[in-house]
Amino acid sequence: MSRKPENTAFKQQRIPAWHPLLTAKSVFPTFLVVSVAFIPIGVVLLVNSQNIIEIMHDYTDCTSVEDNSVLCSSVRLNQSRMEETCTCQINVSFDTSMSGDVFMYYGLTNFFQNHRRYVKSRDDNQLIGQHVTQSTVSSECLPFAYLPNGTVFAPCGAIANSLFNDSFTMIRDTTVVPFLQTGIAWPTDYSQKFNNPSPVNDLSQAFSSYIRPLFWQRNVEDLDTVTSNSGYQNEGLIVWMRAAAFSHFRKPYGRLDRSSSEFENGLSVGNYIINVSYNYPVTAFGGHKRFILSTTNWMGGKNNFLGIAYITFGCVCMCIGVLLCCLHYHARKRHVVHVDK
Amino acid sequence: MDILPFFKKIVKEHQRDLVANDSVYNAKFNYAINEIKTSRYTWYNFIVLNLFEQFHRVVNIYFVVLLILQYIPQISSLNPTTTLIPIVFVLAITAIKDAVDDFRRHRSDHSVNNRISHILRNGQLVEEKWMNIKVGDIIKLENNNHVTADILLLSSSEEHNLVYIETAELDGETNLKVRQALPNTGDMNDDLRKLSNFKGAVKCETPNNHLHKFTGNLYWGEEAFPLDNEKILLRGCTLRNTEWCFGLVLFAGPDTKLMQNTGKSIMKRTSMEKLMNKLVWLIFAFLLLLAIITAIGNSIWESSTGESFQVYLPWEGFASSAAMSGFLSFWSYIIILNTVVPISLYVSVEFIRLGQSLFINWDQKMYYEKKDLPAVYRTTALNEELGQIEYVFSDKTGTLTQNVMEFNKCTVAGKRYGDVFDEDGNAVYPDEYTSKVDLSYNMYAQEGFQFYDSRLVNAIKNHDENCEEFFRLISICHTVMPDETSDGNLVYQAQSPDEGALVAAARNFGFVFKSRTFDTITIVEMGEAVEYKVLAILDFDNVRKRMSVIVQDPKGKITLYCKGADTVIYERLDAHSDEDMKKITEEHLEAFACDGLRTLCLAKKHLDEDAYNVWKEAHDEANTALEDRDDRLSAVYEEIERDMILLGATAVEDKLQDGVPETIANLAKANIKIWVLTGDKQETAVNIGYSCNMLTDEMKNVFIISGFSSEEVEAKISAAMHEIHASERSNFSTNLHDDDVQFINHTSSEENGQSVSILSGSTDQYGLVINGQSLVYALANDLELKFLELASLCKAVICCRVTPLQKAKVVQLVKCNKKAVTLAIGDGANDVSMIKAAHIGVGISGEEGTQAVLSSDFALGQFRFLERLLLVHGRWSYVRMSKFFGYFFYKNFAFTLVHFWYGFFNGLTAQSAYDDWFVTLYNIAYTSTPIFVLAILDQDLDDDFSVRFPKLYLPGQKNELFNVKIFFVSLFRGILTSLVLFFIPYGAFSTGMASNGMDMTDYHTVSMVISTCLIIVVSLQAALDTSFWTPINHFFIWGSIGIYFVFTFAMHSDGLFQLVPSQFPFVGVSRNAFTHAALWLTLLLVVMICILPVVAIRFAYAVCWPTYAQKILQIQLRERKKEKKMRIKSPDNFANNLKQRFQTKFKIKRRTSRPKSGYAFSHQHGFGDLITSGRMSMRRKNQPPGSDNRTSEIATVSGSPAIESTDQPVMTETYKKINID
Repeated sequence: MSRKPENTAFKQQRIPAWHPLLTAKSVFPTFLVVSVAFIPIGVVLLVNSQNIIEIMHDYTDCTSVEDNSVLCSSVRLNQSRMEETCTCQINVSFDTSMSGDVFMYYGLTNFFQNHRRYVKSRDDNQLIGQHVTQSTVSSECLPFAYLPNGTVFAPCGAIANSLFNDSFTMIRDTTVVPFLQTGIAWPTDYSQKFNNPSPVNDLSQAFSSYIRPLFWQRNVEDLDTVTSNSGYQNEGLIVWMRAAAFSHFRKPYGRLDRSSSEFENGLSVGNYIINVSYNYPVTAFGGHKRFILSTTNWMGGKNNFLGIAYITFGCVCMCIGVLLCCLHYHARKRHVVHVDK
Repeated sequence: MDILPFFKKIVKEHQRDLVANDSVYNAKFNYAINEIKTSRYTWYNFIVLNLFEQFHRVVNIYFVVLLILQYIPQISSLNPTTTLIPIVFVLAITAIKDAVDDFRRHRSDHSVNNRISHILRNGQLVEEKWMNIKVGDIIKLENNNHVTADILLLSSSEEHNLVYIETAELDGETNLKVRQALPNTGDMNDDLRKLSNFKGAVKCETPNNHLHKFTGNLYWGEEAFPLDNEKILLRGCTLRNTEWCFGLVLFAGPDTKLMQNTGKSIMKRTSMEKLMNKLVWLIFAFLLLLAIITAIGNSIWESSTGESFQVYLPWEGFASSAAMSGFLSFWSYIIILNTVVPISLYVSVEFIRLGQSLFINWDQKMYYEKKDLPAVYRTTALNEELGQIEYVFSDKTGTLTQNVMEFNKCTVAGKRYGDVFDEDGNAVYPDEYTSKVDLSYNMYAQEGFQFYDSRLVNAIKNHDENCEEFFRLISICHTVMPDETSDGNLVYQAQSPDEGALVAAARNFGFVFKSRTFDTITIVEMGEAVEYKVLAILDFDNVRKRMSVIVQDPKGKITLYCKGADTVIYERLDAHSDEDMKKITEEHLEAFACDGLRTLCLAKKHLDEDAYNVWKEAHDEANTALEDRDDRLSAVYEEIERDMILLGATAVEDKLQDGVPETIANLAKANIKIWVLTGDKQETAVNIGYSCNMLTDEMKNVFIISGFSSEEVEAKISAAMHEIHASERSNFSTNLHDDDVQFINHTSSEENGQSVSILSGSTDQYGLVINGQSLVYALANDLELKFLELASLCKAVICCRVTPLQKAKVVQLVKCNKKAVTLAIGDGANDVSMIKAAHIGVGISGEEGTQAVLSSDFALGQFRFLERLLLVHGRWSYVRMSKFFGYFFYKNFAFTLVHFWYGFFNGLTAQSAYDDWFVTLYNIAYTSTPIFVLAILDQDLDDDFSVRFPKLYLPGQKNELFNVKIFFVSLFRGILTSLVLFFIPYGAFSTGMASNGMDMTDYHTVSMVISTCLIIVVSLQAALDTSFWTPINHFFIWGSIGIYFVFTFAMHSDGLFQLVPSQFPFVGVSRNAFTHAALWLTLLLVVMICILPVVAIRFAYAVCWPTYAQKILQIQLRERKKEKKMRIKSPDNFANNLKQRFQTKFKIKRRTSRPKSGYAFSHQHGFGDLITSGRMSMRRKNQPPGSDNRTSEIATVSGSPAIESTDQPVMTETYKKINID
């Protein structure tokens, strides 16, 4: 038998192939197309972003309604006055109506939800509804895993322990603007990642062997009166548990209930008062709290960055294209002399 | 590599001491047995040893340390599986590869170790495997057997206890050598009883690698006999022309000179790999730097911000202070940034090389049809080095030449025979259609004999007296031994192939040398046997350069026949001889020499009896002289070898292998310097140097260095240097080099369809010839650099008469002192050391055994395939590897540094920027295949163009495509890409929210966005690097992007999450994030920002500073387009055109003048001495009665008749070797 290699295109490395070459014919159109496309896209994005109405109010240093001489932040700094309530009032007025869906957010800055130890300080097994004990609870939750007597926190970990607990009530004239605190968490989180432990129809029973996290004022089963929004399935908790990527972030608090005819089209022009029950201390680490109202469109919320970036890059491409054109023309003159001689 | 050397007891041997047939005594010394082991593992120690070896790689240890670190919860920033899976994957794949390699070695060891040889045990011959042969055993060898071990010859079948051996496998010389046993031991013949009782003790030297030296003594009875090399048969030799012999094993297995000479096999690493290893250290340093920066940063952050953040995240136990936190963060960052050192780098490299090597095996254009030999890789570790060769060291015999001599032309009495003409009367080279002469009148004619000029045959048939004398001389004047095989075939044993070719030619023309005794020689002249009495043989030596025979024909006429180098003969011609004929013959000689043929003049002289008797007396007197015998003999010879009549001249062709001159010329254009290292004589070597285009007439000078002392050699080297420098100075002004100019000349002439000439003629060219004797001094410490300097100034270097070790030393000299990559190519065992010494060893699967191939890195069928191996496969491999490295480092920097930037937004706490699964799969699943396929398949230019434009090879030699600078460019690009990858998503997502109002600034979404961007960017970058888009490339580039999406969705699916919730925290992220328009817009922006500038810069470079390869590519594309058009227009025409274009562009050049090279008889004295002394004859020794029985006894004892008992087949083979192509 001959050992002659097979004469196949593959073995002889003669597979038909495309030899792309960076030629003027392919490079210039690329840059042209990119710059021609990017600038309009950028403009659209920018306009889009500008059309969004966003009201933001930093209430970190607001004064207490109960005692006009104190800042709520200082009340919260004082350990002995922990139990005291402190309420702030924010006045908001806008001259264009916020039509469509309106969302309410709270924003935190300098809050390191992305700290490595913070991010992993949770027990996903507990959150999907498995019962855990001192020995089975994830060690990542430490030191917020259990009490010295062995009672496990529900839910455990630093993230849960630091749950944002300011609450907002928005009032127009005398009516309370209805904001729903459901439908703000990812559906996948609600259905997959967070489930109450058994028995799901009796939450107080389900959580009876646990204790609420140290900083909490309510038990986890009491986060909402509606069962479907209580326990681990409370959407406020779910939203909080989804750690933010950066230390400045915002998280949805509620969405405008547009079922009533009054708010069917969103929020109309006018003056609004927001009552904030100020519970969450941030000044200790130099953080800030913000209250945000925003509409959305297909691109999401207000963000000029992409629009500007697109326009800038489109312009840069155009410049590069022109520069290359000059280079090419220049070099060809030189080249012609060389090759055709 | 020696396995666990510390397990062996190493006792330094001072003297070898052994007693024949006394295994108890010999066992005391623990000598090595004859087993050879080149394999590394056995099935039971494989896992342990292989892991042990793999962990010699720093990288593997590094990853295991990382793995351990990851199990420490305080610092574990990544799930341990992210490292565990890749490292297990890498280790397993490497182990499988090693196992397959070792299995092959086992098989080859096994076949050698299990060869059968005959050993004397308890008075009987038994069959025994080679590996069981021990020192002190007596073994029997038969004709054509390989010598089993290094043995002391005891007795043989031939008279005077001679044996003939072929040492080709050992030193590459194909001529037969003679060994002779001591008369005392020889008397034992094949008497098994006597041999069994032989209790001779041998004390001799310890194992060493000197092939031509042996010292020792045999103590037998009361006497001591000195032993020298003449009594020793070495492993690797083959017994020829000797029915049997007995020998005593002195050295076995690893102690044999053959094995000692093969030297230690060193792990060869390519220069690129060495660079890569250095770069890996650099990356380690870079990693440490990053980790230190982040550790310090973390301490600062913890003490300024983190301290006050303790409400929500208290410092607990392990992180009790900012400094402690910084310390832990250092390790965490080491873990998280570990991917800058790519784990899959090494294993990818190995498999890429395997793929590239397979293509070498599969290449039909490197397949040698005649012998059914494809090119074979033997190591897969060196491919890209093939693209960086600067020096080629080549053996001559069997590598450049076929080691076949052919009687090609002759001139008889002023008439020239042997030329072939076409119809138009032009001299042409004969091809397969040229009709051969009809030799049917001669029953001894051989089929394979090729001669095309029928005029010569006609002349002989017509009894042209001159022609008859001419061939009579050839058939008488030589020292060839005839042998008749059992089926009546006549075969010749010649010491030099030239002589064999001549005698065979005479035989074919009807002057058959039939037999000889020590004083007669029988010639069958045109069917009629004539017995001549040989009165004297005046043998050849290097000084005389001629040999003569004085014979007396049956009529009593005494004639001296002489053949020798032209100059020598011409000096000794009769002053009154025909001047015209001398002149014409000289012209013919000149022409022959210009054709590269080896010439030899023939002359004769009639002697009358009285004159002869007078001379005879003088001769006898000289012959018996005690002092200066050689000198006196020469003087006597001189006396009679004069006033001769010129008969004519012969021309023998030392056939080059196909395509050798073209290959050498093309390699020279690729700036590859070729040195020929040969064991041959200087004349032969120089001759071949000319005929294969290494030495040319255009050369300004060919320096010949030959001296017998260090001073002499030094003086000659200095003189040569002086001459070069002097002429360089005078040429300085005209010596211009401009690549561009050359390129333009090149292309324009190429387009006009003319032949190509790249070499600029402006530099002076020199050749250098040095012989082994002088090389001893030239390679000494004080001279070697000077020698090297001279040699590198010369275009061609030829070293002749060199020993295997010198070959290796020359290679070492260049390898160590020049920063150049060397390649050694050879076919014989004498080339083994040089093949091992060079960066790359190539073995020609030739006739001289397989030793060279076994120790080589690549095996080829023919020298000419070297062109394709280097210029096509080597260049491709280098280009591919360069792209691979550049890209691989880039993609890992781009990937890893995102963590670093992200650190500045999370307090430098070593929070990973990606999902752990993404980190795990990034290198092994998402990004490895496009570059892997690229590194195996990419062709920046196709093979034809790579060969046609050898200058394309230069970037490899200069290390231009991958070096430290390019590494830093990769690093820089990686940094830029990672910056874009992080900050664009940061800008787009830090304040964003989804269109449904939900959260999209969370860690999971942002990390998903970054990883998606990363995959697309690096895949497109691979696409940008791909210059040869086969469907396979398409499949893997787009496929790996597809795989990313598929895997991502799978990892984020509900099913997997419910299976192991803690392992798949990213559940639902992709479903959620891919619905955001912002993600897609960010993706587009990031990709464009990363890719377009690269396009722009590459285009700008291509426009302003195009590389040579890019220019050639344009020509290639243009030509391909033309071809396509032509093919569509007229397919037939196209095929013809193509054929024409690829036909060899090298016309056979006739050189105008050059030194004629004389005849190469042989290195030593001929057999003449042996013949006349009667020591050598073709009669068998009288066999003792009953020897036949004994032969059958072997068969019965062994039970196997598979012994090569007849010498006939091989003799025919040898015969063919002389005559047939």
